[in-house]
Amino acid sequence: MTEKEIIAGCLRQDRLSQHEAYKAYGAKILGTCKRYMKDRERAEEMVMNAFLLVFQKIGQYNNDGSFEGWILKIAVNCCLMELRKKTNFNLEVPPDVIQLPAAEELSAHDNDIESMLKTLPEGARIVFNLYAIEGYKHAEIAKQLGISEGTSKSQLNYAKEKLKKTFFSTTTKTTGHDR
Amino acid sequence: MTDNELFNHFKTHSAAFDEMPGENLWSKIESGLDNTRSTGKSNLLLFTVCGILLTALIVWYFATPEYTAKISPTVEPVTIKTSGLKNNTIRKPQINTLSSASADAEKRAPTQTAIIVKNAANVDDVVQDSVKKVKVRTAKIKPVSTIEKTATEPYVKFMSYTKGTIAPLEESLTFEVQKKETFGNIIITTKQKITNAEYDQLIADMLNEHEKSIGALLTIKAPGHKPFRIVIGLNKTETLQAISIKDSLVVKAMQLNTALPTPEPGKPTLKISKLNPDTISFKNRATKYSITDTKERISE
Repeated sequence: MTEKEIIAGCLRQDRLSQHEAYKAYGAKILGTCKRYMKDRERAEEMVMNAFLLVFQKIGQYNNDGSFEGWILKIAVNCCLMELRKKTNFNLEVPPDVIQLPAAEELSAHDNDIESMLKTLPEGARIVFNLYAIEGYKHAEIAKQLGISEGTSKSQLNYAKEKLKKTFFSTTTKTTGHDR
Repeated sequence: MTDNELFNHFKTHSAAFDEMPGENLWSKIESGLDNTRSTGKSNLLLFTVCGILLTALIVWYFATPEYTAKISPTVEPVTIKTSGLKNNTIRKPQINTLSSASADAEKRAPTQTAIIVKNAANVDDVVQDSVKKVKVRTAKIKPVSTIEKTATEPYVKFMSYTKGTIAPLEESLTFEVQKKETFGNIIITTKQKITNAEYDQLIADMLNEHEKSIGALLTIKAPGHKPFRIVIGLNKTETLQAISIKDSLVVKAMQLNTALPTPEPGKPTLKISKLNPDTISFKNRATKYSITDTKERISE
């Protein structure tokens, strides 16, 4: 089934086409949700919410951009909506208090970006996700999370520094952690 | 490592997160879709039912006799264009039996008085310098502001009660009433909330109690009820008739009023101050007039 056929079927609320959409974009959506939510259960819950929203609001898709991009944006918004309820994004972490993981943990993290991101505090992880992977600007992140641009920048800075020091510094690789 | 290198690393490896969710999740999504569909359907059903009920209510409201009673035929207030007493030209009173008359009457000042005649007969017979009787079945005199409430409940209730269509209440009244008597006015007031039946009972009892105070204006007030006012006649039957003025008296009053000096602009043409079964009183400028069945009397 092509993308156009899937969209047309979803517009008719055809269950088969909806299932096809689930099969085509389910993996990407779950991947996106996993980057934002800490555990898999919550990520799956967000996938469900995202698909329900997609099938309900399919009439609002205007064929301008890619369908996949539209679905992923809905998924990101679902995650942010959920995170806004529970996370205090304004909690700033100064770079001088960066805590590095133990050496034995690091070996397991090689090239596993999922584990790398899990080492970040929630606020920093979400800002890093939005900025580095989704390509949001600081102003957009600030608006989405209800924080100031300054907070967004400091959270990103913390995430960058921690990831660099933990996984991409030569000294870290050899000695484990330099604290 | 530069920032861009770090970002690119995560971008290129972000696909590592991708993982096909299980069929369990799809069954959850399916059940969610079914729920939203059924909610949408039930909302539509509820909306339709509400719409039908609302329409039925509106139709019922406009079809009730109380509403249709508002569009009863009325008589235009008499126009006076003559001056001086008697032997003057009496203009034909313009009587309307159309519903438009009530709308016209509503536009006038609230202090004006209109004569409402039900089933009015043709009055083309009123000619110059002569007084002719016109057959008018029933007439009520009401302030224009209350024209909408043509079917005044107290009258209806009282009449029904005395005619015996409503069974007399046997229970004694259990609420306090205040009575004031000043210059022929009897005012009965209760501050307690009473039911329609109790209010009817109170009216009936007060009429019985004051049936000998002939000519007095009896007013009964209770919270949540329209004040009941009536001029007490000779007996119950005559009291009842007081609200239906004798046809001949109305015509006489209209004719006499027409013959009187032109009232000041903006003043009501016929302001009737007192009603009795056999007498009708009204005021023109500073002069009071009263007409009985047999004679006309002028008192300053």
